Amino acid sequence: MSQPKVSFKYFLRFKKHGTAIWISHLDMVRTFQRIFMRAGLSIVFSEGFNPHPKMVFAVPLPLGASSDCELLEFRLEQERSPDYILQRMRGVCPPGIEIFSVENAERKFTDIRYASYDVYFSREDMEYLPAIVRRFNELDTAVVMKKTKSGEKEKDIKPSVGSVELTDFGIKAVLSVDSENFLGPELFMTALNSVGAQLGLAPVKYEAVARRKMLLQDMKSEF
Amino acid sequence: MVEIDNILPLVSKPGRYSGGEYNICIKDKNAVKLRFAFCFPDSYEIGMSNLGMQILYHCLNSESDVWCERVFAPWTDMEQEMRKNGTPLFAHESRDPVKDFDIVGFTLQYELCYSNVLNMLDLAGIPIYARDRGEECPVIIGGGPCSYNPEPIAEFFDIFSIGEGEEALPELSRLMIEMKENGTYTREAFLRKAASLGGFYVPSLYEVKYNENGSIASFEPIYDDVPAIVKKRVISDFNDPKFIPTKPYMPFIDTVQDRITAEISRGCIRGCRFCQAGHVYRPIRERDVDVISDAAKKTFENTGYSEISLSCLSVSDYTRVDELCDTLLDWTNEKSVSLSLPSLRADSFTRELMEKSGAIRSSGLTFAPEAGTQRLRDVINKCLTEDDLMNAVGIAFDAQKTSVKLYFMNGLPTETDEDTVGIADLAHKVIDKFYATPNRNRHRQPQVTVSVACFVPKPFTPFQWEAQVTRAELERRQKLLRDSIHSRKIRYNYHSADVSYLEAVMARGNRTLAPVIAEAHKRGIKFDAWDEYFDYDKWMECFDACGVSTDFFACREIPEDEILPWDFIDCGVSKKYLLKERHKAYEGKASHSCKDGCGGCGADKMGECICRNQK
Repeated sequence: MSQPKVSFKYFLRFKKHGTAIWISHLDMVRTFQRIFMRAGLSIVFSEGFNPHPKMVFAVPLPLGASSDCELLEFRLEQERSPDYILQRMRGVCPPGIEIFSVENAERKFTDIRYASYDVYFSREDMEYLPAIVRRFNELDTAVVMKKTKSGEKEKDIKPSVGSVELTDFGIKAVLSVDSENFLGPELFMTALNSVGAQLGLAPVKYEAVARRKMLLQDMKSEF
Repeated sequence: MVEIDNILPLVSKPGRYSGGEYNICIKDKNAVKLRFAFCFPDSYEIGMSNLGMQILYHCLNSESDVWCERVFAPWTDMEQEMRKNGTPLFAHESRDPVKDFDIVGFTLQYELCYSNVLNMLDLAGIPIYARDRGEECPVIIGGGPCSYNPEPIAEFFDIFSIGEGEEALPELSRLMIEMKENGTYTREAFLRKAASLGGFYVPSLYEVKYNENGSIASFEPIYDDVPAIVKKRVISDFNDPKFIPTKPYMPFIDTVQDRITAEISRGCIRGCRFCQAGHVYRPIRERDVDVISDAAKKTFENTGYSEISLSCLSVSDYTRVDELCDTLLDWTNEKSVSLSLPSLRADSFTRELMEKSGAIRSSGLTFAPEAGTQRLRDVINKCLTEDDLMNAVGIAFDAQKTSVKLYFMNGLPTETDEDTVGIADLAHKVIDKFYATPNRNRHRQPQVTVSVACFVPKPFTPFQWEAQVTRAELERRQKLLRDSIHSRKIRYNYHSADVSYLEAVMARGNRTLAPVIAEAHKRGIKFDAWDEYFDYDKWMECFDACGVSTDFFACREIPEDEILPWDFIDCGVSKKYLLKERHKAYEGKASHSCKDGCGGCGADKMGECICRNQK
């Protein structure tokens, strides 16, 4: 066994929008690996037969969603100032990936407990939303079928919902990102639509979804 | 600009259509004078892996007033959504409809893409027949390997670019800009001028007459100023860095080739008698080591790719292959970039080469003996002996490799059952060689994969006159080979005889195939290169409906004095040479490589060729 190499851990924060929202999670890993290469920064790879870059995205983002608050943890072989890293990386990103800060990683991603999403709807769907959201907020439980490794399972997603508010564009929702209680915007929509179905309404479909903030346990402070 | 954001969530792999890839070329459409839509008539993943498209995209966009964009065949789920929404075929950079472009180019890499070409034209809202296009339509141009016999699809294209396009396509674009600027542009006037530019074939300017038996009686230009022979284009200087893209566009999604591709040579010194690429890409040129290394290094800086793959027809035939590898390894090792050397020949395979290449990490190697016996290998001029192969696999097994992949062909001219069974014998000998290697890998079993394609007679090869054996006979030989394999350590794959048969029809077809291809499109045929879509019976129904015989094109030995549909093209290699090679094949005589003396193929008249050094 070789000695574990000394490495330096950083966070970077970036926005994902425009055409970049169609880059899947797996492709994001490769995309960032190449951004680091172009920037001339040596990231640390795992040991073993098939080394992969040691990179962790804080919270998975669904394909097609944009974000103002993506977080990536990575390790460099050399110690560099966050400013230097930011300068090197900024000019070599594909359109729609906008890195806006780099910092030394002193905290842990596990501190992130919630994320806040803006969910956008068409004019027609907006008409049904107030009734659905009101009913949803009154309920104690919201059971949906969740796909798991071994088929489908019933799950109450209500404990994973921090808050749901109506806005002029649709809904602002704070959802759990805990590994235990993770709730993505898609499953959340399924829950809303099953409430809608109980009210005799046709399913609504969001036109766009944007993650705005990564939040701590208090649902207010940003990570 | 077309709206696709609403349909992207509904289709598989939206990254195929979203655009925004790193290093794509974005220009101001109002500031350019000509817009070129470069179409790859297959899926995004295949098209993005194509080096030719990457090169021509670079060369066209090097013209400041030309904007070249990429177009791919939308996968069937996307096409369905597009048709439902009335969304026309669009270019990926601007998302503007292809119909609004000045020139629409298709790269024709294999015959089985023809149905996709028509489907893309249709999806773009452009009439599929050239004769139905009006002044407002873009000019449709084809190029690539299949343009060496463009006749089956001649009626769908306005122009074909024959040979290398690096200089030809910008020239054609300049001609159009000039004519549009000075007010002389009409479709007709442009096509007429393009025909005399050199290297451009305008099908509508030639008249073909047929004999009663369906063969060609005459093939003549309609006007005096239209050349009777179209000479292929060869670039002025293969070492000029301006032809080498060093900022290649990079897909986000997983594709076939997603690495630095360094082209090191064009043409091939071997002249295998079935191989079209080995003949039409002559004269044989090798790029300088420094030019290759500098371009690869720049590409690395511009992309961040971690792998370089050398590209040419036979890497180990590159004269200074060791020097090239050392020069590259000098900087690639330091940057943790790996080097991969595909297409190594068994007769020039060395331990050093294997160790220099990325092959050292993989568990297997691939060689292409092509035929099972020495007799047949001499017939096809694959100058590779059994000893060469045993020596090469011995090196591999000694270096702890356990798997070997061997490529062969069935249905080659003069092939007998002995040759077919010979493929199995050779595979068994490779297994024996493994157990006879003292330093072999003792932890794993050997595995030999035998992959057998069907011979397809191709234009501009010494075998262009040969008949393809019937499908039933091909299938009998495939079964014979299967029954001759007795080891479970040998895996046997073979190509479908149906697919190869259609390829042969298209490869040697003439203009009478146009209605058949149009009919196929009408009946919804597309993505023929994909097993899940290829429908042999449906194709045959189209031939029947149009009253066109398939056997006439695929299974007929063409008399040597018959006019071939592609005779009007001068690809450099002369017909006289091809005939001489054909006759040598029947005598069972191999020819030496171009490095051992010029064989007199004629391609050197088109430019500097490696054989010059031997004269």
